Amino acid sequence: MAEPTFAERLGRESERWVAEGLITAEQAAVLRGRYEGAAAVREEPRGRAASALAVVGAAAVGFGVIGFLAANWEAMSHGLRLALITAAVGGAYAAGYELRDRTGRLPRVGEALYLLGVLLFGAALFLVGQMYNVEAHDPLALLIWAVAAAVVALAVRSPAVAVAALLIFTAWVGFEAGTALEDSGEDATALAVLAVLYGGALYGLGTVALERIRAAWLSETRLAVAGRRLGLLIAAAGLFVFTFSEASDELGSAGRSLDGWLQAALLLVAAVALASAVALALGARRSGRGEAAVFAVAVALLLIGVFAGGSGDLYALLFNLVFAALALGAILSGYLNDEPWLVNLGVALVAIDLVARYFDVFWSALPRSLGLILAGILVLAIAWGLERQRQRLLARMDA
Amino acid sequence: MTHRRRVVLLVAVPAQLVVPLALAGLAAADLAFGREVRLRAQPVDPLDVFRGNFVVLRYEISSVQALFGVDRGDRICVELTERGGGWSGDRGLPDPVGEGAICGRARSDAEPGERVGVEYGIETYFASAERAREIENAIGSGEVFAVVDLDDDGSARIERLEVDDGG
Repeated sequence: MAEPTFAERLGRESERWVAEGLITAEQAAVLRGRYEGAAAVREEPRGRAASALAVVGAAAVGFGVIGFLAANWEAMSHGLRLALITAAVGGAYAAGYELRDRTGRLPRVGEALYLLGVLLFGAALFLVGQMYNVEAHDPLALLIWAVAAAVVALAVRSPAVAVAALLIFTAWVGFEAGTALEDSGEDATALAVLAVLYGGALYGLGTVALERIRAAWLSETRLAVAGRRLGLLIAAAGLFVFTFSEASDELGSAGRSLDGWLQAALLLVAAVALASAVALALGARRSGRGEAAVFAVAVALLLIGVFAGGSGDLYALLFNLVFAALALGAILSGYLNDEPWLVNLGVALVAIDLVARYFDVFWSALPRSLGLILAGILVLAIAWGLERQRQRLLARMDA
Repeated sequence: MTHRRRVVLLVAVPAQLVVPLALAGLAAADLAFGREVRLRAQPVDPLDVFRGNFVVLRYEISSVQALFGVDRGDRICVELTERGGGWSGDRGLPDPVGEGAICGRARSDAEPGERVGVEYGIETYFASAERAREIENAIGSGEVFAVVDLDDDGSARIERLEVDDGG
């Protein structure tokens, strides 16, 4: 049996002190409150570490099971493979329920087992596909997997499973788009356009949901938080592509090679991104209008580029400005809204942009070794400057 | 956990057990009741036949003459006839004709009389690393046939690969 913590001992002792008339019940409550908070703070890093370890363990087991089944392909009959997969999926969920929700003995391990169940369900879909030589690259399996993960995330209110559902859904969007674009003979340019639109929509919807939806399911699954982070990363990555004139140059030809329904799909995602930008602008968030403006300009520029074409150099210049606004805006927004992750991401984007612009503009004009030395000095200077600024900002936010 | 969420979990988990089993059952039924034909196949990349554990295959019927105007993604069917130990066909029709017809999707637009690429959903074959090596070695010395099961509606499912060494 585990040793009782100080807070637990204090709880019992304080009841005795009240009974003996040494202190009043109110004083006991104040004393308990003082140490419960500290105990929770001390427990939190350990809890997070346990959660992280459990999630890593679940992922390792999941991939291990897939590897084991794949490696022993021929040795097992179809029936045995199916039995093993089914037992593994059911067993993971049952163990997760037992540890987290029925007994509450090991909630973090239980949550990781729920995640394992979700991973194994995806593995089951793909393994069945391989067993019977169903076309393996069918994106529909990812959609089924994402829906199943979302249902489990909502039922068990698990942030880890919610993040998995979001990642799988994003993978489905990418896979589906990639397959459709490949069929139409289009290269990766349209995929980068989709990344900006989809990422922007995800960030906008997540931010608006956090602000306006006060439901328990949203706060307990942290779905909106994960959506914002993933969305901003994806949007920034897509936007970064168009800061290079070679990529911006392709925008017009990408638009011409898109089929009617692909154009319609792109417009639909753009409409969602713009709608979420409008909702952001109308909300109470302190940086909402600025964020909405950056996303709206990015979406508008991309749509003009795709459907009207034009000079790649001009687009690259404009996208450089938008990317800079996004990076610096993330820092400002993080500061205004007390969100350190936004500050950190913004700082990283500024650094990436500076390095990219150095290589883009100066690399070919300088002798290689001199270029390398200057690049190294530039990176060190950026790291020094940004680290100082970041620490100051975070310290000010803490204060 | 509330009663409602427990009910959702009680439905979601068994559904996740049933979905793979149902997919497997449908596939097994296709293989058990379908009509078996052998299609002469060729790995798309002869230098690197198995990428990981799967091979991408091309067939004689991967390109056929369209007998009607085709848009990319349209259903196109080919009547198969047996010749030289394998089944083949060359005329693309909108619907399956006869018992041995296979249907797929056009990969591009085509006018009547033009040739068009067709995808049947049997272009990928999975095997363990060991089996993949066996097939790869055998391919060097003989012809490859994909044994495919056909449904009445022309849909196809690849069952296994066979290599004829010509002996």
